[in-house]
Amino acid sequence: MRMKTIINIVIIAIIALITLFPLYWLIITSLKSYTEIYANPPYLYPPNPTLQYYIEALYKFYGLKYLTNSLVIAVTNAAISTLASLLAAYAVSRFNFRGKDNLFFTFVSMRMAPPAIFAVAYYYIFCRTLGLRDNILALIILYNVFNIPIAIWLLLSALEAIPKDLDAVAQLEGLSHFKILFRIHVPIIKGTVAVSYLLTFLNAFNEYLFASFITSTEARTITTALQGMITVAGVYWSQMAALGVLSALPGIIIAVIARRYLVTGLTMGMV
Amino acid sequence: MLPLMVEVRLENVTHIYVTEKGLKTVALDDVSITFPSGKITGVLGPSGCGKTTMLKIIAGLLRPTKGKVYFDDKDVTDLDPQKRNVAMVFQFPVAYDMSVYDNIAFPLRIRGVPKDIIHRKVMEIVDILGIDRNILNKNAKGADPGLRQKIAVARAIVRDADVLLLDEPLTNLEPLVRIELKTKLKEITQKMKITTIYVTHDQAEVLTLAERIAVMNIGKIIQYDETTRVYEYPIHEFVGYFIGNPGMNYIECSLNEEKSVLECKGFEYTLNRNEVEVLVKYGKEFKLGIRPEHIIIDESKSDKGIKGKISLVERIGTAFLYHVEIAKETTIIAKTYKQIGLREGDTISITLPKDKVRIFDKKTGYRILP
Ligand SMILES: Nc1ncnc2c1ncn2[C@@H]1O[C@H](COP(=O)(O)OP(=O)(O)OP(=O)(O)O)[C@@H](O)[C@H]1O
Ligand SMILES: [Mg+2]
Repeated sequence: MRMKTIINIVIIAIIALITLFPLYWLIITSLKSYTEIYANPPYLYPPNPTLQYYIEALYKFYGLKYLTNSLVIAVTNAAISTLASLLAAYAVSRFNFRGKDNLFFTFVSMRMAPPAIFAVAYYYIFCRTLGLRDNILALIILYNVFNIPIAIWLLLSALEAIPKDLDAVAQLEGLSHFKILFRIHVPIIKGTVAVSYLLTFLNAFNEYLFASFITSTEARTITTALQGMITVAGVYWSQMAALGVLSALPGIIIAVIARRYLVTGLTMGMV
Repeated sequence: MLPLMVEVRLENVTHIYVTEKGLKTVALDDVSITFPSGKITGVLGPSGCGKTTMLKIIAGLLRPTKGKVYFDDKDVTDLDPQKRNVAMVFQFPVAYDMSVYDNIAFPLRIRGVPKDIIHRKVMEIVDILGIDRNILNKNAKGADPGLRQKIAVARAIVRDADVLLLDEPLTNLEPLVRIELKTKLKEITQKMKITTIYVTHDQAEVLTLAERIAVMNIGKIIQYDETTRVYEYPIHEFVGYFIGNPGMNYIECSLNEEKSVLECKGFEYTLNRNEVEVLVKYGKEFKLGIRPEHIIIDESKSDKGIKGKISLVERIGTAFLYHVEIAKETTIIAKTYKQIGLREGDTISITLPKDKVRIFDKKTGYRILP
């Protein structure tokens, strides 16, 4: 028994080390100067920690602007896709209509192809047809494509778990379908709604591929900005690491705050 | 606002469920019935006979495949449930994810009733149902089934609906809670004078509550009458068996050659001329029915009566059930509240009072006499 706990702790420690070490390296890199980074043997800690590179990353390299772009896109897109998915999931769960079963398969199957194969089509649609090149609106709309199926999948199983008799009672009490969804169901599944919002937020915030070819300067997001720091004049490692830390922050914060929610919400979705 | 007293009428209502695979279930088969306004009517029937389906059609949650639903003279067949002013309490108690108080107040808030009136009404109902005032601020989600069902009942009656539908409201509750809520329901429904339909498959529940009952089986109303008449004069073998605890005893009989007595397993039952005249029209095979509580146990051990051996003695509540084997493979149950000094294996003598004996057609199961 004793032995088992020790082994468990060792395994957990190794896993933690493997996952956390790159993060640690990123953080100390953001606090080191160019020469310190290339020092041999490498420093395992920042010898002269400074926030200078953060300031440079945010202002000189427009990190603040890109970060704001990413946040605006993620906040808005997560809200839209969660709301739309809530309505869709309610419809799928509560109404009978033609093609209902296939609809869901369509959503899911779209996720099976590698996203890159849609890139050309999306570029054409958003940049040419809609004229939204380098516009955050394009990404806010585009991210629904992969966020809505995920959110529907999560919310649908939560809604399915609510007894239909509850709707019946509410209907008899005079509630419209909108009111049933927002006043009766949403309070019950608020945990899953929160998970759905957070996951779609992270998806949007972390997205790289589409952002890289739809945006260039104005609408640039933080993930694509990182790449922009590899210039002909050299790689600004410290500033890049600083920006990297900042872009990792939302994920880390969400994971810490919503740890419990995420686990229950996700397992609920899995049925 | 006092509830309007509404008479609920179903006219030739048929309901067929079609599953995704195209399987059809006829849940209601040409049902016509009128539920009188301001009264409690019981609906009884075995599981799957279409009781819930009927309530859902009355509530507007289902559109009948065929037929019409009227509230008084108004055709409501196509009216949305939101517009019918019907309240329904379901078999599995459901409560919203909010405090107990908010749950009960909710239907009034939706209607924009002033706060002070809401408070007065909620507290009134809370007290009637015996809900602890201290738990009103707790969330109803975690409440036990008994409390959840009380909340559901409270929510249904707080808003003065025209029609109250109770779908097996006690079935999933613990025995003690069940008795408590049953008493409360009786008080409330008698005071409210609201058209109430009480569905159950437990007849003991409904016999004390309802003046009239409808007995259903496989999508049809078999008998609809005053409770005492249904009990005394079951129209069909099924009703006699289903109503009563335990149900009616049936003994197979045939008319003898001389057409003077019914030869039953274990005894003979004498008939008068009028009875014979009626019976011969139906052939020779019959079933004699008698309720366990109507059988007279002869304690004087005299020679008359039907002799049998006690094969089992059971207790239900305060009553004793004597299973009496009067012939091979023919056992009838006698129910008595008196303690009598007889045990399993003893011989017993019983008589069947003539005014309580019912005779059914063996082929169709319908009652012939009286
Ligand atoms: N949604 C449905 N789809 C298909 N068949 C159904 C559906 N609901 C009920 N049925 C069938 O219709 C018949 C009547 O069902 P209903 O629920 O009305 O019976 P019930 O008398 O209320 O039974 P119980 O006492 O078990 O509640 C049953 O055979 C049932 O299997
Ligand atoms: Mg039912």
